[in-house]
Amino acid sequence: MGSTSTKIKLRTSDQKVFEVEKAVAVQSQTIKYFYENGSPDSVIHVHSVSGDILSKILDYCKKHVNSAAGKEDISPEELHEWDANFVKVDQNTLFDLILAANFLKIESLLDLTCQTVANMIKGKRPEEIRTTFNIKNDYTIEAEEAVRRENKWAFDMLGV
Amino acid sequence: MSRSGSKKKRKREDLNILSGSTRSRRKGIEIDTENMEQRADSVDYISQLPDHIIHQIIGRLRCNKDTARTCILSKRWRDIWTSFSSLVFDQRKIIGQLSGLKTSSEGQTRIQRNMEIGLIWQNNIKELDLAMPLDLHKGYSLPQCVFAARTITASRVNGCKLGPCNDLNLSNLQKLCLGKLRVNEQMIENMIRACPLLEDFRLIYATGLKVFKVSNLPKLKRIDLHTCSELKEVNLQAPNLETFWYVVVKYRSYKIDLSTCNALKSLTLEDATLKDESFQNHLSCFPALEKLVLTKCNFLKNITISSYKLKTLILRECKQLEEADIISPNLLSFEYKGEKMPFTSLNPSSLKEAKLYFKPSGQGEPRLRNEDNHTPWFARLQGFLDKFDYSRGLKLVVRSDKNIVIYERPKGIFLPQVYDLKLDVVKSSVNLEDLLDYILRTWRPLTLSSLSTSRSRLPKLVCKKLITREKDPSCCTYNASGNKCWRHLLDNVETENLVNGKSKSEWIAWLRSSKSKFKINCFRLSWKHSKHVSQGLKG
Repeated sequence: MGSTSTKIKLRTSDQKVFEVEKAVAVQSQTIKYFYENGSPDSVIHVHSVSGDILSKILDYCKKHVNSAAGKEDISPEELHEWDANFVKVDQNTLFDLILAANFLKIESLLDLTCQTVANMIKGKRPEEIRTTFNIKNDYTIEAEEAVRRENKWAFDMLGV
Repeated sequence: MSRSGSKKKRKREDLNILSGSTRSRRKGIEIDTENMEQRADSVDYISQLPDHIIHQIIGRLRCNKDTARTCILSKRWRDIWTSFSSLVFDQRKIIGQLSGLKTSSEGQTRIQRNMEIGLIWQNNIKELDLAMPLDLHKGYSLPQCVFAARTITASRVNGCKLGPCNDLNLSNLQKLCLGKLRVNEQMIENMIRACPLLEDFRLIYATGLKVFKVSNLPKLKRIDLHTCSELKEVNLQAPNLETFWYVVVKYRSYKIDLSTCNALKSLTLEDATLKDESFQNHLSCFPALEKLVLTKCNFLKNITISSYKLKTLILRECKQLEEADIISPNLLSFEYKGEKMPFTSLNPSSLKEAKLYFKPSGQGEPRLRNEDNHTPWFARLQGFLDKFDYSRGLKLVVRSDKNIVIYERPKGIFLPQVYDLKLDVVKSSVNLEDLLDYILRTWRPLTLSSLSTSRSRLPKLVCKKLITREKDPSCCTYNASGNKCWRHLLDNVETENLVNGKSKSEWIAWLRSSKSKFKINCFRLSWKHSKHVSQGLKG
């Protein structure tokens, strides 16, 4: 079938051009939309995604398309593990992946990356969360105390 | 490098995928660490994500406390938390459903959390739906403050212990449903005083209440009293009440005063103690009544229902009912379930739909014999069915056990002489195809016949549905095996030859005898894994 070998051209924010198999590229609802509503040969410009990030994302899409199509013999557990390794990146890359997944509308990747960040927050004290993400506490002591009081139920039993 | 302002830029970029801006957002930031949790630089990336993405992240914490605690991180996170809670309230509901909790202490802790969230959010909360599957007496004591949320418009509480209900402030509450809990007169009085806008008040399986009094609720439109076993007196001063639903199961009589509820439109009674006289007294107070449902009112014997406004009348299993004199020329829908036919005075010519389900009381033969003294009943029924105005497109479905006959525009009804007749007069707006689907789905008949005039398209349609159906239906692909439609369950269909057939079935014999009047098509159906192996009338 001809459609399987169809390639879509993508250009990134740093002007890198990728030629991607259609089945892989259309995992992104955004790309799919532009592909279906533009002329087939035109290059789709994905401005808010850099070449490095796009290349990682295409790896992700390829893995998932191949495993879904049975081209690659991989068990759900193995794919899960692959996913877990995929998001073992520095925070900068992780948040770039989130933004790109959001922009490109790749639901499963957005879910994976957001859950990864959620896991970094879960069960931690506020101080620990601030340290993890370099969040600067811009409350005055009085204001912080007031917010704690207002939301007392969320803070008791934690000893904070 | 400071990245303040990049958020806005990002949003702009989101909108203009094909426009010219190509500036890289993170030039100059090079981080390469193996451990994502390690602090490799001092840039706060997470706070710069757009709000909706942070909402996605904190929504995945799956712990309300964790989510709420993020408000303390910084002012930015407080704003995110505030907008997050308002997002949740787009659904306008907190559902505190704690099923399967074994110990009440665990239940207490968990519900306490939910309740406290309710209080945090009380400026936004619109509906509260709380079900505690706990024992009535060990149940969780609902904190008074739950009922102090001024914005609540609807509240349903099941299986909790209520406090004294003093100092409530429910000035916006419109719907209140209390189930499986213990209340007393004072609590109800306090509640009514606190809810001036109450429109809908339901008490279900409530104990402890002996007198139920309602007054001073000008907006009250509906009251349900369902199996409140200790009730002795009901007094409703509710001039705008439109719907009253009332179920008493125990054999205990008590006083009901509805005399001021003159606006009542819908009345449902299931009261095994109600006598003819008090029913008649009630009814005389409701000149605007449009719907009347009497279920298992086993004391009723002779009643008169006379109303020009009545549109729907349902009489179900009122065992001793001998005669219901029904004079309601504008009746549109009638349903009867029982043994006899106590509605001879009803003229069905105005009816648009009807259900008549007869079931024999004894164990005996379902078939009527000539010498049977029920023959007059049968003749009356036939006469009653003849009076419907079929010219308006009404269809008649006759069932007996697993045998079904559909009549289209019948002229002169010809009924099988059996005692367990179930008759459905189907309104004209239901088309034949939907009706067939409904019959096959709901009843899985063993014989399905159509009696029609020669010009009808009914026989063709039945034939199309049954004979030329797909052998491997392509529908229901995504349904679980137990959830597929009738097409997947139908095993085989045979056309019954009514002229030379050898079948000795009485049902078929009856069909054959009616052949002179109608065009008849009859199909025998068999079903896969059918639980019902009954062949109908010894078929």
